[in-house]
Amino acid sequence: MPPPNAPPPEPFLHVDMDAFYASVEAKHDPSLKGVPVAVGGSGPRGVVMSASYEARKFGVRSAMPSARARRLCPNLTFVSPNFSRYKAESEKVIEIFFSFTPLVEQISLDEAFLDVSGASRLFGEPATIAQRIRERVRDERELVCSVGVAPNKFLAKLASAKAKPDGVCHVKAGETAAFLDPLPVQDLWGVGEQTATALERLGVRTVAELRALPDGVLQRALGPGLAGHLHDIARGRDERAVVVHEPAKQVSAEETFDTDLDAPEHLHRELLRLAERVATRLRKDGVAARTVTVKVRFANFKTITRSRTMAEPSDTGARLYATARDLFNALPLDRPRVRLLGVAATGLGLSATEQLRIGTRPDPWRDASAAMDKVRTRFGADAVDLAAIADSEPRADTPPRRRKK
Amino acid sequence: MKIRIERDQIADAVAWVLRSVGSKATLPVLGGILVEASDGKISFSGTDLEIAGRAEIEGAVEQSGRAVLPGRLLNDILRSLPEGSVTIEADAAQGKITGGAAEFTLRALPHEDFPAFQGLDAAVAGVLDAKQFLQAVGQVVRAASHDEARPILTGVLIEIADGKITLAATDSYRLSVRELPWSGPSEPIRRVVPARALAEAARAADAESEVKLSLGESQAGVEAGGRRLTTRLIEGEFPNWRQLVPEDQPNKLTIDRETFAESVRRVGILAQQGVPVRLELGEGGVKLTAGTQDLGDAVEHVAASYAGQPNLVAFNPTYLSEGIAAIEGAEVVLGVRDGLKPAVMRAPGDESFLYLLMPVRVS
Repeated sequence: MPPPNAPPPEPFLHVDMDAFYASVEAKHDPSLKGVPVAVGGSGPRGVVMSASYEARKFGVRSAMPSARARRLCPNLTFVSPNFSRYKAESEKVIEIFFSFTPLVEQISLDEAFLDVSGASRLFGEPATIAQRIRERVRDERELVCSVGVAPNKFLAKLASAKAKPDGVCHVKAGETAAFLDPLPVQDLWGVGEQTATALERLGVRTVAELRALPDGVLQRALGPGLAGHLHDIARGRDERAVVVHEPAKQVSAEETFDTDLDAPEHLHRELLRLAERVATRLRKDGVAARTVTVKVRFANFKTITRSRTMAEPSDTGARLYATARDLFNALPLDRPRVRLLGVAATGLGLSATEQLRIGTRPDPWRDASAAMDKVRTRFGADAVDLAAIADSEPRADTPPRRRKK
Repeated sequence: MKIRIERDQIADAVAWVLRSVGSKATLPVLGGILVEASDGKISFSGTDLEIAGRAEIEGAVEQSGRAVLPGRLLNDILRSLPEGSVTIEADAAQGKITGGAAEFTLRALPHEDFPAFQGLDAAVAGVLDAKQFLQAVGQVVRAASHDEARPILTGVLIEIADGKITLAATDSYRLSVRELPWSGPSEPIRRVVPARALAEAARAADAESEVKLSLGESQAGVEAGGRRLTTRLIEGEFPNWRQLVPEDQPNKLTIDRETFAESVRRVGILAQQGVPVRLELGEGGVKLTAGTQDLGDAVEHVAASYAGQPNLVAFNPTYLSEGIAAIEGAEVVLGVRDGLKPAVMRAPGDESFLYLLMPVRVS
């Protein structure tokens, strides 16, 4: 019997939402409940981002080309992703996690690690907490999640995969070997296609076989770094702690030019390109910016920054650009030679709003940007761009080419 | 010139003139107040060349005459004197102000430089109930713009037509319109009066029963109880507000005004720095919410009667509060179409006032 106040031996939880995007869409539109649904682009180059369990029965999986998904499941309903909706739902779910422990590490919109070492007094054993989290997510958010309970993060993540769908998998401290042994090495964190092939050449397919391999052989095949990592995790060892992330404080983009720029039209176009890039990122994260900062580095490496706070938080490239351009134009410069330009967005606590004006149409860039996001999801990042940017093919004069990193 | 008046009377008159005229004065003499005395009447005048204020009171005129005294100093002195009678004795060079045991001597400003008052040109004039006028001005001036980049919107449109006078103001985010009966000349007329001048003029009508409104070609005047404010008009085309008001709103919330105002004020505590207050309208009433990730959330349900489809509309909390405050009566009817179209507030069954408000787009 452990002493009553000792931390529980398996304090790590990995919570993974089941078919998150698809489930949120079904919650939003009940006609999608119980039918095969894929969130993603439905066009020829689209990719499935999330599939409902009904769709998975047909073999539809995340990251699968949409065309293939449709062949597997002709009745598949495609829904374009609504990231702001997933973001909002994700926040509510994360709130539930935080009501059990302050140690929550959000990995993405639909998964998080929790360290509940300090929570057992209040809420019970980790496995009990896992069950209570699942109940609350189901009752309060009408969503399903699976939870892995384990002695560390690595095992908890494997356990949640095993728990799916709609379950809990508890890997006890003394049973890690039994849990890991039958798993294929591809399931291990850090084993990609290349490593798997290298291991297969050594006759290693399962974790049991990996653990049986002498360290020297492993090191010669994979190098000391990866070999050491695999040695540890094959034994179920992972010392990583749950790290509570602060939300992003800024989103920025900058560009160093091959040739210094001095023509105002080129500089403006680059600012627009950067603003558009920042705005796209903001929209993807479901946030908006209150403050825009412009960074200018001159040919002589002197660097200056200028900031302005806008009346309303915005997430459109057009608004960010207008502010960035005003800041740039206000610099007392006479055809400066510019080596680098940067645009940063800060003050990200708010969502985008627009005080509408009497007799005036709403800002068309809001809809245009949303449309661009959709096209990019379907056809890829380069499928659409603003004409003012797309027009900027290298020209005979100072070509605004980007320096390779 | 030598006059003797009760301190309260003269102090009020001078303070009103000074406030009406404001502090935009560019010439030294415009910082002065012209004091004139004859036949038992004493008047105080000030101007910044756009607005002119004149307050006339009765008092003992021992010697008639005129003098221009520095306005702000005169005001400060009068306010500081003990209650009782005040004597002013002045000539072109200086003015002596005596009250109780205190005596002030002020250097006078050259009264020949003081701009002469022009009479109103070809004015259309009529008399209005002072209380109604004061109320109407209070309802509309808040919607006027403060942005000098579009001067026309810093004014209040005054329209006379069909036996009615209509006051309208908009800052392009909201529009406030009030109608009053008009008994003056009936020919249609449209003039735009600076909102600030109108607000000050209305204050002069506070204790009076009637107010006289005159609209000229380039000036307007408001007169009540011996106080007269003359202002230049704002030139330009005021937006045609009638075509901006939606004819019918498919969704209507009828709500207790006091409760609604309180709730907006409370929830608005978490709507800072441009964060809107969201109104979720539905059967049973309205749910008000506001908040940010950084600060937190506020939520309040207010029971009310709602006819229409469930709707989400967000507003700037200040604009919303000012609209609710402008409504007369126990209840407010808030009509909306959707989250992007203008909302309209009225008192139930009252067609004489409307407050149109543009939503904040949140999705």
